Amino acid sequence: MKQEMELKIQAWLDGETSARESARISEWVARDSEAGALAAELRTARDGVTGNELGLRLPETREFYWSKIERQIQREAASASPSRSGVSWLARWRSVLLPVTGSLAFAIVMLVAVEQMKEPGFDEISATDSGMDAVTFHDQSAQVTVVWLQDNSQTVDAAQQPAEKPATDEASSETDLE
Amino acid sequence: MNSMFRSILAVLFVTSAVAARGADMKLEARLIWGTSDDKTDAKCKPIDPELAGKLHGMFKWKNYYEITNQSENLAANKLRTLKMSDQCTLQLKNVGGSRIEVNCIGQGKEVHKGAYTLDPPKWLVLGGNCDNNNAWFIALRAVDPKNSIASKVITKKTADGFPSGN
Amino acid sequence: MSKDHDYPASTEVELVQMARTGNLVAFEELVARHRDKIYARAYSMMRNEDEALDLSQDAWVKGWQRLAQFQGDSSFVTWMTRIIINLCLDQLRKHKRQRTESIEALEENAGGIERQMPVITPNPTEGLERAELRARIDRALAQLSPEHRAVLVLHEFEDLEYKEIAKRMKCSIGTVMSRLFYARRRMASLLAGLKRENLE
Repeated sequence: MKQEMELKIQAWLDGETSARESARISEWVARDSEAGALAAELRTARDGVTGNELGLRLPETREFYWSKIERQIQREAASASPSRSGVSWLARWRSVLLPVTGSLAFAIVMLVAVEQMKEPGFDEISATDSGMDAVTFHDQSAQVTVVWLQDNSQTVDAAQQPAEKPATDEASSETDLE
Repeated sequence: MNSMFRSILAVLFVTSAVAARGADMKLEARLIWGTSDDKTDAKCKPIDPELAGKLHGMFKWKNYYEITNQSENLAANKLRTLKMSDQCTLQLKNVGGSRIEVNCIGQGKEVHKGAYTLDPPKWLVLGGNCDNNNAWFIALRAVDPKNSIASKVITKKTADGFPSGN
Repeated sequence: MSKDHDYPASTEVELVQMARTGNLVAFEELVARHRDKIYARAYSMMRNEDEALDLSQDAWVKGWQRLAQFQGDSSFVTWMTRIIINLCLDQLRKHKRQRTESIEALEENAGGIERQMPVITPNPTEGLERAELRARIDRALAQLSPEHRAVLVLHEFEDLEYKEIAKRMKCSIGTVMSRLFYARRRMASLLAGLKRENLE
């Protein structure tokens, strides 16, 4: 069965098809055993998962959890409004400069030390044969880095790889609340 | 006094870093064949359950058989060659700090080259398709935890008990 | 801000109204009532306790800062759930920029795993007690990639339509459909596998 038809069965199950298409697919699923079996499996997976989310308790006490939120609210509120304490700009600069001078020498020494021992933060693929593509994946839970070498002369079924285009050209998701 | 203490700390860091960079690495390399065909040669030896579980979790093949399993002590900055099969050779170089350079040569030509960090118990798996919808894998890991700096780092765990990713 | 007010006995509407006037005690009561649900949503998407805790905290802080925008078109917890989902999706996008490739994309290149999986019959969830089923589903969810898990969570748990999921995940509807398809088939396979392990 083509992937396009498989996705249509799924869309039909999820009520995402038009009435006309829904009737066509319903009739097809009823008469085609392969389509019917796939529909049953998708329905089972969907129904099994829906409404069966594991109920989790937040693993911190009410007071502790709230204290962190409250501190963050107060911190962000304070940084949003400038200080009006009346401390002179010179005193403020002095309070910043003195610790900075004292730490500067230490920072330089530490930088040299860290440069010596720093491990690269990522793996480097230097070269792969021109006839091949290398796809790298790090599976943190299994503690495995996989480098899959694929012969790029193999054709790829376009139906397997729908293009990933953003639905809209929206601003940050932070503003999308309602 | 404070700055002298900090300088001593810095010297200690540099010394330990230099020591770590020069360490040998014991490496295990396995050539594995992945297939969904149940009818195989009786000599085919299934891989150990731990690695099998990882491969099953990532790939589609039903069975994973070990073709060769070799261990090699990689001295720092030395190149070693491992013959995994008649058609497959690995050139390995321990560049220090748990990093190795891997050059995979298949049928006489350079297939892939890369540099990777191998802190135990992490695996590096190279793989690709082969005939009859089967697959080949080369699984590498460092087996001497004393040579690893990162293995001493305390990792956070998820509720599943696995180290958290970042 | 009255300290004598019985906050635990207040309705949600009352608490939201009080919180909008700057009443942190009222807001804290809202947090206490819904913290488990918001945390659970974060955990189901991130599968990491520390990240879920941090993100849920961020969500509450944002909720406090944006209370003026809450119009009451939905329930307060639904509104908060949208905030936590958006934060989780932002975080997953950051993770994705750090990762090189999704393992499921790898599997799809390596032969289309969903085509290799046999159709699962009979029902692997049949005969399970609710608690056991939930635990199994949770274990199976943990094995999906973040992208596939996110689509499944948004569709099955949050009951969002394909179009809404595509908008939130900033991808095409086609991508949502293929990810959901893969995730469901993988879940069916994982649940069947977990059942076999149990029997053994």
